[in-house]
Amino acid sequence: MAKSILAVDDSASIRSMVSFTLKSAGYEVVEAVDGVDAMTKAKATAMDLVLTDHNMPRMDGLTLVRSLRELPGYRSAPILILTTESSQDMKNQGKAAGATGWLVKPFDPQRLIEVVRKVLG
Amino acid sequence: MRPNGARNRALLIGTGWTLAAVAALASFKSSAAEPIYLGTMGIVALGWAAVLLQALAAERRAAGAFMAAAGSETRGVIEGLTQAMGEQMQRSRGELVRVDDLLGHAIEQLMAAFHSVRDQVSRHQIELAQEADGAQGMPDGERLRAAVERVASEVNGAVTALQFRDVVGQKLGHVRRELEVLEQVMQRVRELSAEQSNPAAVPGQAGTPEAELAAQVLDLLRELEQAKAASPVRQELMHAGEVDLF
Repeated sequence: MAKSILAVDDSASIRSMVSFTLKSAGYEVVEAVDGVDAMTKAKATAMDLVLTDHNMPRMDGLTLVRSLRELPGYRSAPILILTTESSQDMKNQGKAAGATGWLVKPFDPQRLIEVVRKVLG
Repeated sequence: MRPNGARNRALLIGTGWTLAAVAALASFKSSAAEPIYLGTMGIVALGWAAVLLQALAAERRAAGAFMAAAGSETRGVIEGLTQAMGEQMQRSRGELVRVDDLLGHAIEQLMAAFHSVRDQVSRHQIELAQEADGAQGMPDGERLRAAVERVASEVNGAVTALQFRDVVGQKLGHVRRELEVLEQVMQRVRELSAEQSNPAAVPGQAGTPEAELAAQVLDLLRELEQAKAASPVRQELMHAGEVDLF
């Protein structure tokens, strides 16, 4: 059975590219437009991995990571941040929030698939 | 007759503000690879408005009916200038929204076409790979394998490059926020100009409107710097970003 990935980004074009890339690698992808939407979908269906942007309306990526980590099903699930933010300070905040990794946009599709495979074990 | 002391003071303050504007521009240009024209427009306008305000204050010290009339004209210039700048910034923000919309529409069409192409390429990649396996050790097999790898690499490169819309969109959003701050600056300068016409003010003393003016204009300049620094987008080229696993 294909592993499920929740792709969270307020940019429709990025969601489309992430979704296309991961689907072509055999994953099942569910899209969410921001942190609030992601929380609703994450509660409704257990995801194997969450890939989220940081700068989003309503709920940003770091808040989403912290909120997901409070849910029993997501305490150890891999959560990756995919963002334009590249400062070390932000990466440290991501790590402290409980993120598994930090990817800076633009992403390379092949590299993204490699990272997803690695963190999913 | 125009008092030389007041005129000289205004000239000195004006020179100071021009230098401050030049320094601020240099800072904008060196610290961020972003369009500097908006910061340029705002800071130069702000600098000149401040020059005029300071000249107005100097003139007020000279007092007299003639100077009061000149002060009124100067205030008119400030208000006209800041009003025009504010309106221009509003129009520019509207244009940026339209550019963003056009870009979004164009990229949607491009993505739809790209997905269709990529679907077909993926199917051909599998067929080519199978043919290459069947012809292993033969020149045609190696050529097909190389072609498959080249196509996959080009497709990945295209996906990376197509993400420019997200980066450009964020940069446009940031420029719009800068323009909003500049509009607020222009509005504040207009208000300060009106406050300067308060006849109860005692110029030249700490805590008077003139002293507050300098502090408030500096605060506004700091706001501009903060608006500039708030942009998370640092990418200058569409190369794939780094990956950190914790």
